[in-house]
Amino acid sequence: MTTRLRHRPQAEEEDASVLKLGPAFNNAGCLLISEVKYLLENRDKDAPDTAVYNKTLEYVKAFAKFNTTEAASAVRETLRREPLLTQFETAQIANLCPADAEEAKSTIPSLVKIDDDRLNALLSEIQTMRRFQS
Amino acid sequence: MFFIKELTHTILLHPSYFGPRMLQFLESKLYSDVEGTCSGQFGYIIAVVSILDIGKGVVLSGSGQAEFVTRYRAIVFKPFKGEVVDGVVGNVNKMGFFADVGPLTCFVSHQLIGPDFRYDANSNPPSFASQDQIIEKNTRVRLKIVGTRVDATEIFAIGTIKEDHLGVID
Amino acid sequence: MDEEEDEDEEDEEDGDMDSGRPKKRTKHRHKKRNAVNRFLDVEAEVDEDEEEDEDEEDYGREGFIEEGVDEEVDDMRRAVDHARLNRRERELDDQDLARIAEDMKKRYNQSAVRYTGDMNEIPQRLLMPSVHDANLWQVRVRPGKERDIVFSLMRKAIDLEYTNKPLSILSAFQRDSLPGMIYVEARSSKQVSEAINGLVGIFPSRGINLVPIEEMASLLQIKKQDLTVTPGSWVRIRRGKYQGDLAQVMDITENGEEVGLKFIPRIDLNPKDDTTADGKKRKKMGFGNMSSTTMRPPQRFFNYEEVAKVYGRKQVSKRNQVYVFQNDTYKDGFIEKDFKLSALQLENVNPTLDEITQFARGMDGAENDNAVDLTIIAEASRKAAIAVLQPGDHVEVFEGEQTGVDGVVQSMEGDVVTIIANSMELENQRVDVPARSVRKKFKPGDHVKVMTGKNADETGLVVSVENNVVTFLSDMSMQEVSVFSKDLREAAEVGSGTNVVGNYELHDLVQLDLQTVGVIYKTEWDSFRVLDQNGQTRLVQPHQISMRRDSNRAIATDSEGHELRVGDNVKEIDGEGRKGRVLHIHQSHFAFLHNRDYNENGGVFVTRARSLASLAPRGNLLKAGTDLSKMNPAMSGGAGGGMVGSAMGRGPRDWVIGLSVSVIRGTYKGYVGTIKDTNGPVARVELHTNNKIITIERDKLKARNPDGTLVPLDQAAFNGRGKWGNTGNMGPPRTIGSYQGGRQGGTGGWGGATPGGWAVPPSHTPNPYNNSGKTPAWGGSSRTPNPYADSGKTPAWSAMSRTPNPYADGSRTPAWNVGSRTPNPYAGGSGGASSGWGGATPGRPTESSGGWGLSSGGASPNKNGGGWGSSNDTWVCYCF
Repeated sequence: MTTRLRHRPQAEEEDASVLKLGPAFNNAGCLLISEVKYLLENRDKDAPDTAVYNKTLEYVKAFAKFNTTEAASAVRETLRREPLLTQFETAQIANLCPADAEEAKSTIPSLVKIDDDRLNALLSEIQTMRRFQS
Repeated sequence: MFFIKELTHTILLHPSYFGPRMLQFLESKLYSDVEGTCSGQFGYIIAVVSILDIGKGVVLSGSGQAEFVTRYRAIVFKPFKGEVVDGVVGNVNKMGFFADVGPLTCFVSHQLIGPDFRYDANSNPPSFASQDQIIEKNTRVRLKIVGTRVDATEIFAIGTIKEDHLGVID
Repeated sequence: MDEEEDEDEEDEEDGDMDSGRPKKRTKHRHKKRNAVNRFLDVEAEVDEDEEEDEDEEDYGREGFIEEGVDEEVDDMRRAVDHARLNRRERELDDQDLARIAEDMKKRYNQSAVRYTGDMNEIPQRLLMPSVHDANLWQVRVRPGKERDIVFSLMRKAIDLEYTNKPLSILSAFQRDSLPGMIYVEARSSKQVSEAINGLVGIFPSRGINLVPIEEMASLLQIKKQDLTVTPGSWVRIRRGKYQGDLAQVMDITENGEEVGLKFIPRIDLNPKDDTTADGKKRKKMGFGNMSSTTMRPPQRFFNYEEVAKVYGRKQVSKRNQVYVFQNDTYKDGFIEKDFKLSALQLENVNPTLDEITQFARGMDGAENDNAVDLTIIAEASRKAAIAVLQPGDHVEVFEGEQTGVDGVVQSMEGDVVTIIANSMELENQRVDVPARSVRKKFKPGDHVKVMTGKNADETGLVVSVENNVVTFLSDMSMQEVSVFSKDLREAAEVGSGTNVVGNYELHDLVQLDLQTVGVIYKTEWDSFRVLDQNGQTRLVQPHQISMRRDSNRAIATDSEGHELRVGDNVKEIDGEGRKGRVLHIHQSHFAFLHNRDYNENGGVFVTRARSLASLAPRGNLLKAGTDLSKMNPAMSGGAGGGMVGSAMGRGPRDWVIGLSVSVIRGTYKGYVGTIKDTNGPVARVELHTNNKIITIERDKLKARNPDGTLVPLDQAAFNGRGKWGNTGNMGPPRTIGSYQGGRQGGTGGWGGATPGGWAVPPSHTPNPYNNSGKTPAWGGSSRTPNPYADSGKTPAWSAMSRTPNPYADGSRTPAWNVGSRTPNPYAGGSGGASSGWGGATPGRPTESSGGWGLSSGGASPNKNGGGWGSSNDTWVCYCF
């Protein structure tokens, strides 16, 4: 049986629910879908005609929650007030816009560390911003 | 999840390009080389945002070509296991449906769609339907990625909507 | 007591008819044999238990010390020991034992080891053969005939016993586990060859090999087999028409030698001579089915109506609930047949889920109540599961105290697995559990690989897990596959293995026989599922495929008269209105389409090209342009032929076909023949000597000129090409595809790739190696007029440049250089990116005429492969 012992690289398993994103992304800056949309739409160069680019553009147009840079940065500003939030969680909250703490914790499990009330306050603020952006 | 990430790319340049337009060429080459590609480590490189450093060209002995190690900042998209994302349903068949999440295609098996939904082969387009919801082409869904497969040129994921707060979004 | 032992001894020897040598004594001495057993030809039960052996040895040692030397007893024992040989003799003329002993002594008088002591209590190791004993000789025989040959040797020995030349071999035997060999005991190989002389089926030419002494004993060791054939268990059939098929045991005969099996019949519903039902032919046909070379009929449940229709009602009779057809009984669609145990594979049966469900489904496709069957499988698979655990596997405990615990296998010792638990209360603790109560654990999202079975090497993402059945979505086919978890392993890599079997891969168009082509829609472990142009699916092995066909350039016409090419997205205008992408076109008539949305045949289906409509019709202008250049025979030259040829999938003839060649290396060195066919690097050569066709690598061949001189094949082919200059297109079939590939890949050679043939650069050109094609947008082409740089990179060119004659010359001839220096033709074509490519064409023909400029001008703006193909071909024609 020993002959079958093989060395298996025990790579850290990536799992977003516990914020394990792998070495390349653990500290990388996350973008909101709205920000990606802004960046892609305001490129000074010609858009590359790749399938990846086109599909992404289509996607961000469909799912951007905040249509202006002001709104997006306001959301970022709001979420920055909560020091426990990581980049990834910030972006997830802004992208998914969960209605309440329960939904937020279900879709972004790592948010369990944050108190329900505080989370609810943040979420409702974001909902408001989303509603009143124009 | 979209990230903004600093990456490097190595460009080999033939001596015939050495000249006044070399930098321009290098830039263009970088764009055409990396945009739209996908690597297992960094995911899809969607667009180069800025070039940080075009690099010092080092002429390789023997071939005369110059090697430039270019640093640039790009928007990348990498899906993670456990991540909740929104997507648009593409194909629906009796095994499940494929959803497009940006450049990523995510398959949701019928086993992970949930017992409420039944495949309706007679509908056109084909769909999964429950009492009050229907999943067909172009439906928007919120799904959770349960696994990814990373190839050299593609990432493929499977997802589930069989959890709370997942499923069709309005 | 002594006597009984004695008789036991004889029994044992009876059992080993073929072996007379003292051999490792394996009989269980402590167990008294059943009196009846003596008269039965039962295989000696062997106990490999170490402890027992030691036990016996202890006994032996005692005996050895106690008994001391006793010559006479020894002789008698010796006689008994070889009684088998003399048994008949003794029966016949009732000689007294002493004389037999005398005989034996004479025969063995060379043996110096005086083993003394009671034979009943012999130390095992002293029974081992030594240098003084007769040797064992291995003789090659016709596989399958081993037993018969041993018997004929025995008969021969008996026949010649009282002649003046009796055989001097001592024994002969054969092992089922060693096909193609028998073993003869004799003092010298000469005696062996005398003995086997004249017997049919023995190959003395392959040597009579001495078996090393240390291996002699192991040859005679009988492995203990505990046969676990119980009604309901699964076995596989070893040979015959049903080779490899799964069968379920129904009953076992009392002597345990035959079992009644139930399995899915393979009835040939298309017998070659279905009308002439005379027995002789039928028999012959049945035989043909047996051989593995012919296609065996697919597994199919017996259907009275179907069979009666094909074979006539008389052939099928019904008794009670059972049909009888060709001496086999069929019940509920299954065939029920008795098999010898030896013809069955009892171990490593590994029934797959598919097979089981097929069984369970029964004849009508109705789901039967099959709970019982699955438990048997589960039981069997559990046993196997122990063997497949590896450290690092995720497992869960599904029975016993620790039920529900999951963890990672840390180590294994025998049947005990140490796992590091992941569960809440046992977090990170080491837990020892019996291996049989753990199973591999997978969760949705895991990327897994199938280790064994039909789906071996398939990889995919797990979508669901139910007990020990895991369903995953295959990476390759995007189909869901269900397998037992024991057959799976977590794997990071993507299995590419199953996509390619032999030289063929998924979605290849392959030639099955002269009339039939098909598209591979599924690859299995060592075979393919192919959909042929008639819409039939079949299972083929790689060797049944004669070649892969290239339809990259094939063109058909769709319902609107538009051109239809491989890769187009099309839709059926009649029938089911299916959509799909064109995979292949066959004979401009059949189109093989692929669409992942259809589950049938892996999404591949075949339809008539005429009933298709393009989903995105191309502009008429472009189409007309393309078509014109294609249709004008003057312009396209051989390309027209190429089009037809490739549409038929045949592709252009290899130029070496028909050449007279000599083999320069290998077994056939020196033979002369004619090349009949080529397939990649191999050629089929018909030898002049014996009219035989051999398959041989091309590099072992040299073309043979009429005067007997030899030239390399390529060169000869080239000369041939020159001769046939105007008969057809010159470009190798792959030219265009690879050419485009090179261009699209964008990783052109940057000069480094320029092949040798072009190494002499036209000195007057300013930027000879510049890669204009690589980055068309960069205006490279406008700055770099030299077309050869690009062309040189394409494989087609390098292939050509390998053919020494014309190019070597060409590059030296001034005409060539003139061509390359001539700036004019490019000036016209340098407008766009593709012109750089087009430019490659006109460069050469400056030698010929101005008409060239026209044709190239017409072709180059198309920027597509078609335009290229034609200009390329034309160029070649001009050239030669």
